Amino acid sequence: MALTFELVTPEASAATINATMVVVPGAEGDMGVLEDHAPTVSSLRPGVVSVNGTDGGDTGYFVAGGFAEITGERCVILAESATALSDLTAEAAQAAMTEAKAALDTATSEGEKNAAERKLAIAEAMVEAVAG
Amino acid sequence: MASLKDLRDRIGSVKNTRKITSAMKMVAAAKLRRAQEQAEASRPYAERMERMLSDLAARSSSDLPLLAGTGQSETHMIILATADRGLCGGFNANLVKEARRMTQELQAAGKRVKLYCIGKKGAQALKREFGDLIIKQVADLDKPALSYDKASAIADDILTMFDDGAFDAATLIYAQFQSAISQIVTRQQLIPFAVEAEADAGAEAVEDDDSAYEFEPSEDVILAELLPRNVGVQVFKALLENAASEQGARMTAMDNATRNAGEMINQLTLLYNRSRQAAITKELIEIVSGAEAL
Repeated sequence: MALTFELVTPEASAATINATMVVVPGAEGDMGVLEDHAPTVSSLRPGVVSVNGTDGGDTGYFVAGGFAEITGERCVILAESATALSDLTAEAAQAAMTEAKAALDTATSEGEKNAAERKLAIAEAMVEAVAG
Repeated sequence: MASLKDLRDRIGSVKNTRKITSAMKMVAAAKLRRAQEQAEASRPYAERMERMLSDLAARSSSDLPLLAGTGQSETHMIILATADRGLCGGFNANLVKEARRMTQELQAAGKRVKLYCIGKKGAQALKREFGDLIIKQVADLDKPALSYDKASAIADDILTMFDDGAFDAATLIYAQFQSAISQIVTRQQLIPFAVEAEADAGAEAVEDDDSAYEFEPSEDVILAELLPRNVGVQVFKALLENAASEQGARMTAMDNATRNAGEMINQLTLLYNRSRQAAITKELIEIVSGAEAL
């Protein structure tokens, strides 16, 4: 038996997969979700959600933070943006990194600085995701 | 009376107008479908988010300003979402009217009001009356396409102002899409998070057997993260609804215009034919009476 993995972004339902296991980058550490997991809501840090499909295929998604809603039979990821790992290139990750660093350098107000730091964290996770 | 040539020109010009309005109607119909699809696609996220949020808010006693308010209600911000373009019936006018009414209500109650205008038309219409209240206006969100990033940029902007203490409460005015003929102008309380709506949803969530969640890292941390994101989601939802409403209103308005142009063409054609026959008859009488006189 399996659990249903759903990846939902504000603009669309990005994916629905029957999975045997989903590894979620929880705020307090990675979390493997199998069927009959205790109902949990967790916030996510930027990172890779990897899904082991029932058909044997593995899929990875890069999410820039969000939430996971886990019940016994479902694992729903709410992410503001999600990219399939196969669509993520090293160049794009590097570009995001440079942009975030530039934003951090030019940030003047507290709010801008926080936003830039968040961007940088996402970019760092992105680079890591591409490498690993 | 207008000459035959005048009438012919007039018919020609109304026919051209009809062509334009019927083309606009078809464009609006196509855009409406796209807007509806986009709204449809965004629904699962918004629904899940709302369920999670109401579940959390119902059990949390957190005093986050986004949830509990700033403790005063001195300054209100009205976020008015309108279209960038006209020719869509009473769509913009209705939204502006609601914003004006709300501004006046609040001012009568002695509150300060700030206006945040999304879309060109709202700012244009309110500039003369409340020009000094408009603190910001953004436009051209649908070029090339409305996206979540744009909505969340607006939300971030609003949240930054809120953190700086620029206002105590924010209300979003937008048109909820009902059908192509009916759009409902809606006021939605954005900040602090509307409690009534959430109590209803909370009751539902409790019935749901999923409500016994474990929260990681903790309820309050998640809530603190969820609330600002919810503002973005709500803004995005409102903008999508607004886009669909705008196209629906335009479609109906242009359909009416096309029909009216058709009617006008019929009337003018009738008048044209009648004048033409009258002219012929007149000429005949002239010839006949001329011949008789000889």
